[in-house]
Amino acid sequence: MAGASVVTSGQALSQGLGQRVWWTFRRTPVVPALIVLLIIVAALFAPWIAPQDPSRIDPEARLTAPAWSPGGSPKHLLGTDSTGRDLLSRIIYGARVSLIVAVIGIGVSACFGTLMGLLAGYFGGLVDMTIMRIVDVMMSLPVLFLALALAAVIPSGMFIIILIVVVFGWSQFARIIRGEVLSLKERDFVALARVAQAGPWRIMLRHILPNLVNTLTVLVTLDVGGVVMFEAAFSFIGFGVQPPTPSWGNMLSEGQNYLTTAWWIATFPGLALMAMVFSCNFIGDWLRDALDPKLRQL
Amino acid sequence: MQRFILFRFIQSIFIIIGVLVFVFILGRVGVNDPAILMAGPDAEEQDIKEIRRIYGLDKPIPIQLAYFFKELAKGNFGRSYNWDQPALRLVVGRIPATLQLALLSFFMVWSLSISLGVLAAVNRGTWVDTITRTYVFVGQSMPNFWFALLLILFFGVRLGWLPTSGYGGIRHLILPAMALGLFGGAGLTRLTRSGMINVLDSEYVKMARAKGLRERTVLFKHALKNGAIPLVTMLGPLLARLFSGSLIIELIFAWPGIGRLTYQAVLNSDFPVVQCAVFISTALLVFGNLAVDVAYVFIDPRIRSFGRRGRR
Repeated sequence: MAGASVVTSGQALSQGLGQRVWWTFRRTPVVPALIVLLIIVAALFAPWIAPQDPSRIDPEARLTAPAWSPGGSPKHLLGTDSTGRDLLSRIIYGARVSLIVAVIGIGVSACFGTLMGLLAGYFGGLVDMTIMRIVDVMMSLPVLFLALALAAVIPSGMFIIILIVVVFGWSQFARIIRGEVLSLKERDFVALARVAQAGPWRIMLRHILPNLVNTLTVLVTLDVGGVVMFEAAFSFIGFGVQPPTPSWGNMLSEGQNYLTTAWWIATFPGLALMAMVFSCNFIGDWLRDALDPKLRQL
Repeated sequence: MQRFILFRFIQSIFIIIGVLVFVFILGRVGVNDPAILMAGPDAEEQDIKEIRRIYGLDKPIPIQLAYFFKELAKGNFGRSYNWDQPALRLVVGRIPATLQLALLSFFMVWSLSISLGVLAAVNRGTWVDTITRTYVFVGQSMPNFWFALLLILFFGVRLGWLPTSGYGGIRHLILPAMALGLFGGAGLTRLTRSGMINVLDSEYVKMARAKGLRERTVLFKHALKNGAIPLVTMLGPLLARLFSGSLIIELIFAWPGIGRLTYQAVLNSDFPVVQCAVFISTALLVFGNLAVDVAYVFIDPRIRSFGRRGRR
């Protein structure tokens, strides 16, 4: 991915067709953007879009294959699961869970991490020492094992996933924002603000923070894929969103038992998950090259 | 130099103690009363009181914590409620399985990222590069547990070549290690590629080429040493990711490692085992990271002269 912005369009033209398609595709991620848009619309308007009630059990239609394969029925486009619930509708409703976790989890951890990064970078000294030591610690813990220990105490559901995302997610924001603040605070406009007797909070929030918007946009976008994947993983092992509420993770874990007999149950939620993560990473990469190439080492 | 290592060592100890205290408090303030769990399902009120007294569960939390650390110093994590064995022995018994899986996938990740990263950097802009970039992108977006299911579906069910669960010889190890390692090196490949590209442009590589050295010598003796620094710096994070990833992979393939044991212990509210497993995994990871940091100081002389704080 690195070196993308170095290659100009003229160079790209002289390369092979595959390269040219790759670069065009890469410069404007239309397809990933459409996929993300589709998923957001599906999540927001699930009750109107979903062809059926996602939790309506229909024993007659259990394990129906997708519509195009033998044994399929046009009523269930992507087939049904072991209790006859419509897979397409469940995937559409499952998008809600992923998006809620991503929006709240990343929202809170980005806010908190930014605040900590601002404090550490701006004040330096003991504040910086303390915050960065905590960040170091947070980044060297076996997250999934601690998450399991939490799951032994806190009841499963969306709350625990969001909690884990926030507790273990803020540190990466803090680390990168701190680095940015360190260089921003040496700039003339900060010195001027100080001469004009602006207090530290005013300088941090009104003068430095607006300059961090690009970096934050990139970081948040690049984080979505990971968080969506974590939600799915945690629901997959059974401590996240509980059935009958559909989430891509718990649908996958249900499908695991039917790998031999009904491949579609595990395949389609997985495809949805992969499409979502893929698109978010793609958009994040594109944003990074466009807005903040410094972050390329991420 | 010694100060740096000593500092990091003390920090590691504090992390481990902190995690222990955290998990201990979780276990005591949690929804489940340990005395009831220890007594079993058909215990009388009297027995529960007795257990509370014997294990000191009626005392205030700080005193219980002190008692916990005193026992810990003797290597006693308590007995598993579920398996009726010392928790430590149970967890330590599962280390080999987890290590086998982690080491094999680690080897896969490393060899893939070195070879693909170098190949892509040398053949920049050709189809080799395109394939590498596609691999990186697919790899970064592929959830490993879904990939595991696909592997089972394809190699286990359709082709029937490999066993899809359980612990045994090499044949049982192949699919889980692939699920963990095949795409685990995507990020590392990207870093190796960009590192090598930077190095190949540098003056000393041009110098080596100008001296008329063979291309192979230039690449592997001169360029790779600096180009592959991310392979060392990212070792710590990679270790952490493989470790966390192995938890789910162990569950899917019924692989009897620490991850699966922890999962079962959590399901049974078997807190001594959870505590011990979290302790062991934290210790493995934290000291693994420490070893990486120390190794890094030795490898890169620039850092040695700066003194402490190498990585990040």
